[in-house]
Amino acid sequence: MRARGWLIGMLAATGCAYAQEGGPGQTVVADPHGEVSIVAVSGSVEVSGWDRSEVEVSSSDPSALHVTVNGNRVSVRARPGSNDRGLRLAVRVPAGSSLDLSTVSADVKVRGVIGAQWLHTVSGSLDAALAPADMEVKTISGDLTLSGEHSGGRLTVSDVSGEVKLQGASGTLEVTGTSGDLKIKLHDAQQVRIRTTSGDVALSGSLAPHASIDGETVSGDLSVKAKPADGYRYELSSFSGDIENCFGQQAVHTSQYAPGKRLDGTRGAGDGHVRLRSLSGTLTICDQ
Amino acid sequence: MSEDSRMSDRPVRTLSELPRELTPPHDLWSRIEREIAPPVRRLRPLHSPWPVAFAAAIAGAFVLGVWIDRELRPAQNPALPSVLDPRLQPTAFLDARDVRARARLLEALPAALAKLPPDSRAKVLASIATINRSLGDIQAALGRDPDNALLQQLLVDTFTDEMRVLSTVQDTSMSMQDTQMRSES
Repeated sequence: MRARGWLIGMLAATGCAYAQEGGPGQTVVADPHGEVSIVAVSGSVEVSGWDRSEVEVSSSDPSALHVTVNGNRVSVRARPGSNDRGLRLAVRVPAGSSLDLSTVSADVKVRGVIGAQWLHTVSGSLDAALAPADMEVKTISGDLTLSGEHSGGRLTVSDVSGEVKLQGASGTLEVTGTSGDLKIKLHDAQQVRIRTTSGDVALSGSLAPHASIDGETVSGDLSVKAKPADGYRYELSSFSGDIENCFGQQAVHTSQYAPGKRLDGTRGAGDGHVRLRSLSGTLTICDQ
Repeated sequence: MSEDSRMSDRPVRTLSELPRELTPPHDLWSRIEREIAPPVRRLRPLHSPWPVAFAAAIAGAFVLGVWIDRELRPAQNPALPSVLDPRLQPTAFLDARDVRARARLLEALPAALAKLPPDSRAKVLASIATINRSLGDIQAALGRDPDNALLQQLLVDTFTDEMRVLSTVQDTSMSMQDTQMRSES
């Protein structure tokens, strides 16, 4: 009796979830390691990886969908919705697919895809799980949230004015922003390059052996509180900003007549390398 | 010994002993002219391209800043701006290919911005204004410390970042058009 109640409850919940996705759509057979291309202008797009060799597309307006298969490439195009909120689109893809997603103002969520990904949006927010493959994430003004474990691939993030939150980045990471803040938690990262103009950058987490971090801001504060596997050499230089550290070391002036400070040193075996620089932002380094 | 020098050695006792006429030496007036003429200030040769580049870049940043300021007030000036003056380029910091690319991107910027959603357009303009302020700050600091390697590196990187933003806007506007066409086809 209790089991039947659970079953009814589960079915009801599934039905509700299905209703939220907007009703039945289309399903096509797909290569488990093929490419899925999704194009949507506005609304929301939710992509999830599953273990079937099929792409299933559902939408709040099924008539707005156009799904085509060409070789190992499945293409999903969603025409803009008739209402102000735009079209709600849900796409299930083989987990090993590579994903090429392009939207204008749609909010994007991606989960469970482990192939390479190119995610581009103009102003929508983007929330994606990191994949163990190359990922390129680009936005103009949308906020980015990337989380999970990323290893073996190259992660490139480019944002003009949105905020970036990244959790669990490992391997090679390159993040470029202009005015948005960057919060990045590393997980045994190997090679990290960060650059922003006025946004603040907070890097924390752990570094792999022989890791390198290269960070630069113009006026944003830049903080690296990362645990190195085998220590690191560090070079921090700022023209007019402060330099802080938890090593009990004092930054030195670079010139008798002009502003400018430097802090150089080595922690542990010094296998890694951290280089930070700024015009007027405060630079902070700590290995705890 | 000459007649004149002999006369000067001898003490003069009467007026008639004085010469009736004295001819000044040939180079006297040219010497006087040299003495009384105002000193000619020689311009210090420019050993570094920074001062010229600095002035050009400040002018460029000012023009771009004024333009952005006008753009951020769409109610007063809804039309997109005309093409920026391509002469105001940071030629001292970028190689010729980058300078040409930057000129092309600046030329295409108004049209590219026009295709962006209004909220994104405002944010992009604010970001470009931020970059321009930063360029101004770095250039001002370079004015005080022209040989500072950190500042030179920051300046080049900030110009590169400006190029990234400009090309991102350009690429995005093209891909938006493509996205809209593909979604409507």
